[in-house]
Amino acid sequence: MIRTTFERIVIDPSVEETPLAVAVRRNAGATEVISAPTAGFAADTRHVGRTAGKRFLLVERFQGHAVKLCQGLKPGYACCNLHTLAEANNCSMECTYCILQFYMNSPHLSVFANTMDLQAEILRRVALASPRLLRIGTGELSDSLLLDPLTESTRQMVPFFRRLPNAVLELKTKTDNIENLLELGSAGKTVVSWSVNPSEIVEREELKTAPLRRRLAAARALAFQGYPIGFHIDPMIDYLDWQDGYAALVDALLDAVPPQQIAWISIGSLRFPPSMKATVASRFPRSELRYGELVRGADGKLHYLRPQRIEMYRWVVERLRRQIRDPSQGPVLYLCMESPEVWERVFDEPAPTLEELDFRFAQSFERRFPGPSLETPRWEHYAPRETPEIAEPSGDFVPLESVRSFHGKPEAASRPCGG
Amino acid sequence: MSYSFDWLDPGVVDDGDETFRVRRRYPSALAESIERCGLQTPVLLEPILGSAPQRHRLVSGWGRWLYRPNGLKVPAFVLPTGLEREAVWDEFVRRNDRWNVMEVARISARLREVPGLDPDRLVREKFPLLGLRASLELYRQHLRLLDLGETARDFVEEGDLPLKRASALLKLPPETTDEVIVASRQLHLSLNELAEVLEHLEEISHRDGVSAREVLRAAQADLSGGGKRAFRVYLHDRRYPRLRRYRAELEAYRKALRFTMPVRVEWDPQLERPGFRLTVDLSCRQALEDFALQSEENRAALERFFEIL
Repeated sequence: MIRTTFERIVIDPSVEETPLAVAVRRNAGATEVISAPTAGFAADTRHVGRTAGKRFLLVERFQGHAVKLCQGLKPGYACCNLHTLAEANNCSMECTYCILQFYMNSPHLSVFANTMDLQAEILRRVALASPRLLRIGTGELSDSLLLDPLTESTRQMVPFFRRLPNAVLELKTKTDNIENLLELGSAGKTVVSWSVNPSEIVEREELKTAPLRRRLAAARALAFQGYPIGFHIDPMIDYLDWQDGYAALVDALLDAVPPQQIAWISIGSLRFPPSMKATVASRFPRSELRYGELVRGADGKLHYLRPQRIEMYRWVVERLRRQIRDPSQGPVLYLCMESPEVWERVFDEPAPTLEELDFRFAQSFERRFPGPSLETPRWEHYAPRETPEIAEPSGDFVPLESVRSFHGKPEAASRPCGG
Repeated sequence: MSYSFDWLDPGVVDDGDETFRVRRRYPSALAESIERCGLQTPVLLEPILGSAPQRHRLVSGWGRWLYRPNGLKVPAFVLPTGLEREAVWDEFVRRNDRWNVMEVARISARLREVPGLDPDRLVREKFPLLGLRASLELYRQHLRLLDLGETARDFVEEGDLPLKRASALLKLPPETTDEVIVASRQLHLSLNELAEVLEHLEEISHRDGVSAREVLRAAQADLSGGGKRAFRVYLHDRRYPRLRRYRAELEAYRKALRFTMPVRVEWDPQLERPGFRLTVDLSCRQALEDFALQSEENRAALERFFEIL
């Protein structure tokens, strides 16, 4: 298990009574837990820098829109229409390529304890999207399971999604923190996915994460319990023996989890803003990332050259296709943050539109992981609408009362988190 | 804090004690002003404990001291005897308003030696006095500048480079950086170009397992007499061999195109966009029709671009 050791946990008084904050106190062990306004604490300790700042966890209230379209959805990409849920900010693991070191303003880890507000917003987004299947991931600005032993967040979220008519939760992780998930029993509509790379890359570039074998052992355990599993072979990294490394990785994934239990596999390659290169060099002098032949792309980020990316993607896709004998029972394969031109060259088919890919996900999921609350997707619900889904919500939250009635009983601090 | 003021004989100042001398360059205007008007602003002195007769350490006013008129007494504020080290440093920092990055580096290094001042408090309490954001990372970055070679330090101070620019000089071993700076002066490289050269040298050196100095000297030997463009292209091509190969292939494809009207083909330098930027002079309707026809005839050659782009 990946246990983050904090020097201090600060709980904002405004969320002190929430189940998540109560769970944090219960699980904090010897770590000092104080009650104080997190904004003040964050300002006082901002100077400590990116690495030292990770010694502090702030348990606070999220303000603003927690559910958003994935930041990857940009013109010029063939995107999958994933939505993201801001449950936490920042991560104590140290992947050398992590965009958070460029993106985050604050060095601390934060977790948002006003779960009911987040769930209210999810309900609203799900209602807006109905009857389309909404995929909502929590691993954008943090690792979905890193803090779970402390926060027990999954004990609130997995049962919540189980009852939603048309939504799937994706928990994306590089840990093997699955104890709470195992105790929760059947998965319902939660996909647990692992970001994976060959072992040599994990050791060199994904510091403080679970080794590949432990991630795959966790995936196998959850798959055995019925959880749909996802894999993100992303970012693919060019290194001396990359063909052998990624071939072995594909074999290991499919050895750990049978293809019919894998919901989707995404593939992407190393990309980061040019200014992050200096940060990587300074924070991780042993990283080999910056020595790759990376050039600035149309999106302003550094990428490998297109022919090289296509070669790497095709290598993985062909290996996957060889191993997955019946594609109709296998995972959805897709590229992350790539152009339609690259897609066509990798898959030898025209790139799907956002709506087509979204529909493909829904069809595949409903067919392979049927459940009582899943409707059979129909294309007319996914075809482009006049009002694009890209618009962010106007700001009307679902009243908390609706969430309480959805749960069936009021949220109370004294209620134990999960079973 | 209360100081005593006095006109002191220069002989009572121990200017061999450079504890507080962090500045290496002074504006010529200061020397001109002192020459014209005399030394009017007092320097700040600290009595040296146990010295007999009483001598003083120069805390602030090194520039004024160096340009002082010969043979005249010097106006001075004198700090109380026996002040804590930290209090003296606070006085020193407060009495100066703008520091370059090398000066901040020297101050940071010397503040490290002050009893009771750990890095955390140093950053939180002293960096704001220096006009800087309280950040341990910033503190460490400044300290690293002290690893620069002599030429590089001068270069940073002479150009009053910001921290980011100065830190770029740390990519290579100090003696190699000094050589690169000498070369950059000969080639009239801009700061951006110098940063690019340093980055290329470091990355080539790491990837190819040779020293950056060897790469630099190979470039200089291969390009004897070449200008800065040739120098930069040499390093860029060596750093990005695949990009160089693709560009050469694209150039060959471009030469295979046959158009009768003026057609200019440019490729995106990053090879990311799906196609050449193709500019054509369509002066009349016939030109448009010819272009359409010839585009079709050139289709096979044009399509080859997409094998690479």
